Formats: sequence, structure tokens, C-alpha cells
Amino acid sequence: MATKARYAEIRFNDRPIKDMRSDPEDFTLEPGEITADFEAKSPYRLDELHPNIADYRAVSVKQFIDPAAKAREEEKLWSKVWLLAGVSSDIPEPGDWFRFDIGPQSIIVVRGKEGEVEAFYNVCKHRGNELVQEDFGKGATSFTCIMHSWRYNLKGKNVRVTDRDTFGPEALCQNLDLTPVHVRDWGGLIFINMAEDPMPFEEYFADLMPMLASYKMDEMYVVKDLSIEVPANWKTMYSVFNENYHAHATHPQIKPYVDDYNVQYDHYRNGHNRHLFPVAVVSPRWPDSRFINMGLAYMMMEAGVKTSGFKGDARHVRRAIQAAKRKPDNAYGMDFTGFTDNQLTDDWNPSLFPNVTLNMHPEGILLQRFRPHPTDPEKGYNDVIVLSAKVGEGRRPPAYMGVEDHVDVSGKTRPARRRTTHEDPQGGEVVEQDIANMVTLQRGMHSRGLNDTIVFSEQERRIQHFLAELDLYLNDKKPNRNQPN
Amino acid sequence: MDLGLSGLKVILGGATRGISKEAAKLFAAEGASLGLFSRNGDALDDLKAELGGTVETQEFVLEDREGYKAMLTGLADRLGGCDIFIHSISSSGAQGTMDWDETYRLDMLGAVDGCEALEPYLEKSSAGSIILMSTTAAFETFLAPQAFNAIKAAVITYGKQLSQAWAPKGIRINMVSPGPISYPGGNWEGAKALMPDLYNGIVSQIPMGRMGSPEEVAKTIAFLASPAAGYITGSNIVIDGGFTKRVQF
Repeated sequence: MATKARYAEIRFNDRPIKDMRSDPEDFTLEPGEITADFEAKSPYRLDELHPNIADYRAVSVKQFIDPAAKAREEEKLWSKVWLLAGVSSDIPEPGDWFRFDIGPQSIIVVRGKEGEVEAFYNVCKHRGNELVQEDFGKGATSFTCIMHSWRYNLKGKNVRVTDRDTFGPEALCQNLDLTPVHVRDWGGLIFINMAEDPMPFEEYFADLMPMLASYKMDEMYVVKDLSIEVPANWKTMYSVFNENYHAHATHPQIKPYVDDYNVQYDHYRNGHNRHLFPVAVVSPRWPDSRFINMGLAYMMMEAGVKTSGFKGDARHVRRAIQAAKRKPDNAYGMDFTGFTDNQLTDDWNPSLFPNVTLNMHPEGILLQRFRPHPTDPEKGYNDVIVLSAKVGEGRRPPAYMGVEDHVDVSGKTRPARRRTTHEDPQGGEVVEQDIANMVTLQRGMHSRGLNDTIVFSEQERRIQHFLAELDLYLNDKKPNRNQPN
Repeated sequence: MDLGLSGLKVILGGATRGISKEAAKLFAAEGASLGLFSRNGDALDDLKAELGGTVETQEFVLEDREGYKAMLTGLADRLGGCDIFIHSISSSGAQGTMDWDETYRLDMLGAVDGCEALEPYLEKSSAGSIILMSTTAAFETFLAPQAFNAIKAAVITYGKQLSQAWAPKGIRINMVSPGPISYPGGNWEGAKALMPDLYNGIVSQIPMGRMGSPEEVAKTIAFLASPAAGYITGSNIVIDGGFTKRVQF
């Protein structure tokens, strides 16, 4: 890939980290003057959530390759968990709908007449034809199957069996309505759950909800939407993220302005976790941590902080940018009330178990979702969705999210979903660097040189956490209520 | 070859990074006494400990011209004189190459006020010598119209004329113009991360196939400032691996 050559000179220029922490959960980022409960360290430790976590430091590659593992996940995982299906702003009006595919399952999510959101399996009860075949629709009053014109209203009720008299009673006595699934429209996001009796949504996401709500995603809208087919298992894709350890080598260009080591780790119930990455700080791996380098200077300029005569060095830039954003006439044309000081600069990166990771900033959110292929365990989809806040004139969501310069970010136009592949991901440089790793990791897992085993460091605890939680589902050990503390 | 630097008193700014830091190390190794100033007091302390020998340091942020002159004469007094002044502070050290006011203040007035403030000390010296740092961007178009390029050209012109005026006083004045210089944590290192296409484009224009190192520039500074270069004045030494294409007669 081109980016490998582009950054060849600095890819491995790192200074060794002094006084390395063997337990990364020991570290808490210092809060700014304005903080919030949701910024504090998690009350849980990973080894309390999963006392057997040591079992996940060396794992077999089979589950990333094996068709039987895929079938087991369909039966025991995907059918049980709350899944991010889409965003509320895509279906603002009654009759607006979208389709969400996960493995072999397809779901229709539609806004009903009263503004409520409903979700059904996307399948006509006649012969099993997929009822909708597009990604999105506007202002529908019903869904009609293209094959024999059976029709369903927005509540999923069958309102037409064409030539009903030609069906015998054995056929007509079946439930001919669409099969509903649980759905929640919360905080700008829409989740579905295919279980009959799922863990209540508020319990499932309890530990993350205050933080997620603080970003006001219900006021954001989609400015980029990619679905990238990648020749890799969805877990391989997901595991490329969810650790800070890869950043220095995979994304060497961020070292001048992102601290990829002094990162807060928080592990939560139900498989969720997060990293809080300080931004506008030099990585301790970068050769000079005091000089205001080009990356920091650019961020200062964006925030309206003059580099000339700046009192302080690189270590003071992050707080200076936070202070600049607090000003009512800040350069972003936004009101940052409700955000903590650290949120104003930093990259808050929660993962929603099992398959979503978010890079969150007040100006915009990079939302990535990893979906299994309908049939092939070694293929999947990396969905890249960028949500933008209403930013001031001339402002854009953070550049690394890869929203092209010509794209309108005012919210007036919702860009079409682009379907592409790993060979032309169109996700921007950072995403493309990660996708390149997905492909080569998946290929490498077949190597006889690997002896079937891959290992994870403590900097990769979020992946250990993910695999441990996944096993609870696969081994039928996941209770569907939170345990009392 | 003995440069004759032993025992001479050298005043040098921006001494904690890059070319200036390497020059400070080299002068110290040659037995000179140093008066160093920088915005970064911690880094000055670190450097002082690293260098050993006679090193006077001053944390300093240039806010007004009088304060700058007073700081320089104060350093000279603490050293007991000044034989060599290296003018190396620049807006480029604070990402200010586009900032006309800042570049004029630091690069241009920093030269003028520095020379004038230290003139009495340099005149007393038997080895009085000034180096004004410029850049190849002063005399070949580079990147964009910007303050740094234009004002560094003015610095060369000023230094040349000053060399004529002060030659009778025994003070030599020379300019050193490096091309792109790269070192860990430096500006070009940042460009490798943030503007890799620009960086690679520049390197491809350098016949030697690489950017220069601070050590290479420091050696030229040390020679030119030293009594070993006693008959050289008003010159502008270009150190650029062949980057500039003009013919200098």
C-alpha cells in the first residue's frame, strides 16, 4: 500500500517508553477544570469482570477462520445481543426506513406514523423473498413484495395476500405478519436485538450511556457512509482497532500530536470498554516531546491559538486549545457546553460489544461497524460512517475521518452509501492503514509458522476483554440480566 | 587543525535543539566558554549538565528589544566578555515562518540588536566574529512566499554590509545558509509525518539524496566563527548537499 512507503522514514523512529506500565488500567488521565462523572475511571477492572482473563492472552486462530465458529456465532451471539442497526437521522419522517444486514439475517427498520421505530426481519412470509432490496427508503406507507405483491403495513401486519382464495387454510393459518425484532431508538442511534427476551437495553449499555449521550449524536447527521468488503473475519477486523499498541507503527503520522501510550483504559460490563486518547500532545515515542511540531502548530492555528509568542512548549498546547474552544466566539462556531475539557481535544474511543467502535469528538464521530459475511467466515464488511455536528461555516469534522473536501457537511444532503472493497477503501489514510492490516492478518492466520496461536499484550486488553465476553455467549454462560454488584 | 577556539567566549541562542545545540556541543568540545539562552529553561539545564565546562545559561523569551539587548550584555558580563556571537534564534523555531511581525522581530531585529548590543565586547576581542544564520530559502524560491524566506534574505544583505563597516574593528561577520536539515524531532521530521509527499519531493531534489544533519552545519559554523577562518568576512556559506541550483560566483 502507498501509505507504507509514504511513512517509511518515521515508521520505526520511536524512542523507547521510559517506566512502562505493566498494568495499563493503573493510569487515569488528569481531568481538566471541567469534568464529569462519565470521565472518571470505570469502577470495574477487567480481571474482576472476567476472572479467567489470563486464558485470553494466547488464543487459537481457529475461531477467526473456521466455518463452524461462524455458525456458532450466528446461533449464540448475533441472535442475542443489541446491535447498532443505523442512525436516527436517516429516518426522520414516518415511513422512512433502512435495511440492516448482519450475516445471513436482514432487518427492516422503519419509522411508524407516530414517530416510533419498528423493526422486522426483512422477509416476505410467502416464500421467503427479501421484502426490501434497497438500503434506504423515504415516506413508505407499506412494503409490497416485488414477487407476488403481498403487502405489509408499517407495523408489519400483513394487509394483502394477493389472490387469497387460491391459498388453502393450511397456508393461511400461519402467522403471515412480518416477524418483529426488538428495537431501540436512543440518543441518535438505532439498535435492534433478535433475542426473544433480551437483556434490557438500559442494562446492556448502562455503563456507557452517560458518555455516549454527552456527544449529542441525536443532533448529528451522516456525512460519509462506506461499506467496505474486506477479506477478513469480522473479529480480525474488529481486533485491528480496540488497542492503542498498533498506533505508533500502523499510523506513524499521528505521533507528533496524539499520545498513543498514556491512554486511559476503562472496561465495563457486557463486553464494552474504551480508550481515552489525549490529542494535541506529542507521543512519548516521538523523538521530541517539547518542541511545538508542525502537527501541534496546525491544531493551534485551527483553534485560533497563535504559535508566535506562545507561552509554553508542546506540553501546554492541549490545555491551551481546550481554553480556546471554551470561548463563546471560538473558531469552531460551536457551543461546547456539556463537554469536559478533555473531550474538547481528546479522542474518546468506546467499543460497543460486539462489533462497533467509535472515535468521538464534539465536532464529529467516526463510527465503524464490523459485520460478518452471509456465508464466508473469512470475509466481512467494515462499515465506516462519519457523523458530523453542526459545525461553524468553513469547519469540517476532524480530517482523519476521511470526509472528502468536496462533501457538503451542512446536513442538507445525506451522501449515498458507497459499496467498495479493501482494494479501494476510500476511508481516508488512517482507516486504510488499518484495513491493510486486516487483510494481511487474516492471510497470516493460515500460516503453519504460527502454530495455531496468537498472543495479546496487556496493551491489547480490550481484545482480551472482547474475546472473553464472546466466549460467554458461545458457551451459554451469559446471563441476560446484569449481576448485582 | 586547531581552530583556536579554546578559551573563547561564545554566545548562542536557541541552544537546546537542532543546529544550535550541535554547535554548542562542538564549541564546548573545542574548549570554548558558552553563554546559552533559550525559551526552554529545563532543556538548558539538561544541556548544561551534558556539556560540562564553563556554561552560563539564561531562560529567555524575546518580548522587547531592550530586554533582549540587556539579556545579551548580561550573559557577556557573566562570561567576562564575548568573542563570538551566533545569531540563530528564528521564528521558524516556533512555527512562525509565515508570521511577518514575528520573523522581523526574531530573525531581523534579533540580528541587528544582537550585533549592536555585543559590539563593544566583540571589538575588545582579538577574535571578534559573528555568524548570522540564514537559509537557502533566502536566495532560491522555496515552498511559498513567506516571511522567513524574505527576511532571511535581508539578514544576508545586512550582514554583508556590516562586515564592511566593522572589518576595521577586527570583527568578522559571516552568514551560514543551510538547506533542509533533518533531525529527530525537528521540523522536517514533523513533515515526514504530516506532509510526507512534500518531504519526499524535497529530498528528491537534493543531488546527495538526503537532507543535511545539524552536525554538518555545526562544523561549518564552528570553523567560520573561529580564528582559523581569520581572513573570511562578509561571506555566505551554503550547506545544502547541492539542493540550490544557482551558480554562485
